[in-house]
Amino acid sequence: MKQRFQSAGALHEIELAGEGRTLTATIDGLRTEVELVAERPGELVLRIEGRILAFDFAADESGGWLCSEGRVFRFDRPKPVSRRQRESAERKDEIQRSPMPALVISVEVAEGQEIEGGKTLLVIEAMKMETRVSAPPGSWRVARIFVAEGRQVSRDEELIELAPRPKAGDRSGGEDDR
Amino acid sequence: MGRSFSKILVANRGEIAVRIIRACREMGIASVAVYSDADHGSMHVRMADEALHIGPAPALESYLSIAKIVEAALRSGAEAIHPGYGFLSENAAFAEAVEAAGLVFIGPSPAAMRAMGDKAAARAAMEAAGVPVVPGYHGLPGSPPSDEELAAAASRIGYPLLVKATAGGGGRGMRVVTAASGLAEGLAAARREALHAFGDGTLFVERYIARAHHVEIQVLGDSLGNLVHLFERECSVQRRHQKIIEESPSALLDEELRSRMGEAAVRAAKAAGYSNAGTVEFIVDPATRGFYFLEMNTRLQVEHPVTESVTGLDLVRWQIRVAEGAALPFTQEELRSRGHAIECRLYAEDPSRGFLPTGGRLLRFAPPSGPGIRVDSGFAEGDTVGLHYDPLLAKIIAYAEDRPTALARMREALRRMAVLGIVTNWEFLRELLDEPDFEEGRVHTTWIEERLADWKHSEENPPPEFLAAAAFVFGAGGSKGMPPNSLGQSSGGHRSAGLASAGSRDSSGEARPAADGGSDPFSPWQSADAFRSGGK
Repeated sequence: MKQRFQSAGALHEIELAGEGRTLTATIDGLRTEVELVAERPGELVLRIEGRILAFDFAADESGGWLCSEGRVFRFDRPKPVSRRQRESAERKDEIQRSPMPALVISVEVAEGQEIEGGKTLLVIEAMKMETRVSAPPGSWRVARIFVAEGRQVSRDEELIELAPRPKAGDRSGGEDDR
Repeated sequence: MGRSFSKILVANRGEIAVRIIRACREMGIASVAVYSDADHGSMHVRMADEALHIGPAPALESYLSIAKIVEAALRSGAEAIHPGYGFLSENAAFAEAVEAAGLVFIGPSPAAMRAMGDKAAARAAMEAAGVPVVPGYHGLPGSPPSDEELAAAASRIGYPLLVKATAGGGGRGMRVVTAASGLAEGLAAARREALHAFGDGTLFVERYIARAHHVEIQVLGDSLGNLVHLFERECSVQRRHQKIIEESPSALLDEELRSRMGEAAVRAAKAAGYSNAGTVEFIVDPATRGFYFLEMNTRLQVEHPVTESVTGLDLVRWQIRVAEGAALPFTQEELRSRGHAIECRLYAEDPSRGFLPTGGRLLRFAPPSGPGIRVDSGFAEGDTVGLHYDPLLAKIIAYAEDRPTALARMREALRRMAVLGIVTNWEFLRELLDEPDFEEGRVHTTWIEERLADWKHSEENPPPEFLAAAAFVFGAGGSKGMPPNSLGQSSGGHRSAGLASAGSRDSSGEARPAADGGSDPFSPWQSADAFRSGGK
């Protein structure tokens, strides 16, 4: 059976075939023998072409993390993209979300305001540290502000929606910056 | 002489509470943990002999509540309270309340805490004691300077300038202002942060020394007036005044500067009538090799294990012994620093997203071990790291005979450990250790902001061996058809799908002969350093 995983923005396909401890793996079209050397809760040891490779892993609902030699990778089983997500991506709207649970200290822009990348949109505070949420590179118009000063926001909550603002004759340039 | 405690309440949480409880257990002293709603069942509670609930998650109503903690101590029958670091550890009113309740505060006297707690007053006292301070302005005693006075002082001192809160610490209420045009905003931001964090918006300004190193001296005094220093810690690897890597000795100091700074630290502590463990922080200008008093932390530091490693002393044990009334059994001349120690702070924060705190469930946590490796953590695999408190997850300390060996030990420790389920600064730490500037001891306090501000988790594609491993453990096939000895049953309730596509209903377990490509020189599997290409 073929398995597909999303990792670092790319889709990968892996097939394990065979029986017992030594299997044939086809990974993005490349074939090799993989021997299962050991497995314990959270640990997996493989031998591939003579090298012993020790991994630690943790699985959750949608996939999991793997690490080895200090490198960490996230793997997700692919899930279908919703129409709404696709449309929003096509419009190239930019929704600024709260990177963490926080308190909105101040809102520095107004709806309709035209701004350039780097402009501070709002200031939030978590763990007694202030953080500025700034506009990404490009030219923008503040389409909507979802929060007000003094408001408690949760992680990934929508804060501000920015609509791209074409500069005369420079439309794609501004967007490529992103 | 002195008494012996039979029970100590630990007024803290996380790794430092665990550290203190360990010392209590080694000394045969019963330990009492306190915990908020957010820490029900956390490691410090599990390790203690007794544990008392002291309130809801917000620290103001639990770990910062003087009344609740003193009440818990009285209720438990503890004779002394160890405050750890952070929370109430530098709060003189707390120390007074502890003493008023007839208990012993394991730390300096309230008077010494007050003398050093007001950063502006501490500066003045240090100047009087002949300890060098950075040129600055902190107003007249008893009257907080107005913005106009600060602006006038700023133009005298010159830019860049540091705006600091008199009640500050840990980088809160602190701003670097590079030009006069930014002063008003800098003052406003620092004051807002200080009011929020400490309830006191009083500010002062001082000259900002570029490329400065942060070098601090550990001191330890008993109640009989004996006071020694335990050498330095180099803490220049920091971001926004949050330390990330500390080591001892400092590559910047020679014997002469080391002993001058040590003597200055002892002078500073004696001027404040200090006893117990404390740290005198200095900034060192690498250009002139001048050093200046920054502040004194009147408590145990996060990075105390570095000093413990090079001196062989157990600082928490000595804090307790001194609070019991014991005299220090060693003199300055008898103390030696041996070998080299490095500490890395593993934080539950995301370096790719401005170092914002992350939190979550520690699905997999395999701390490193081995000769010379020490790990102080307040969490174990399966624990949840919340967002209510400090994002420090663990401290990893490597000790060896010299710096290159300690560094090699630390690098190997970070390669071998595992922390999954929560985004941490793990990979950031690994890459930091490989930076030539770090290796050569040239890192100064703004180095990370200047050089690694845009650090991102490498978004490279996983090497094929990781994909093979993913197919073994994250496959969608469920646990059916797994060969003997396979994953699944024992994996602690986590999803562990096993050899999903192996299709080995046939249980013969016979290995298939190697098919092809085993010796292909172009095979990606042959790339011996594919694994290590992440850090330069």
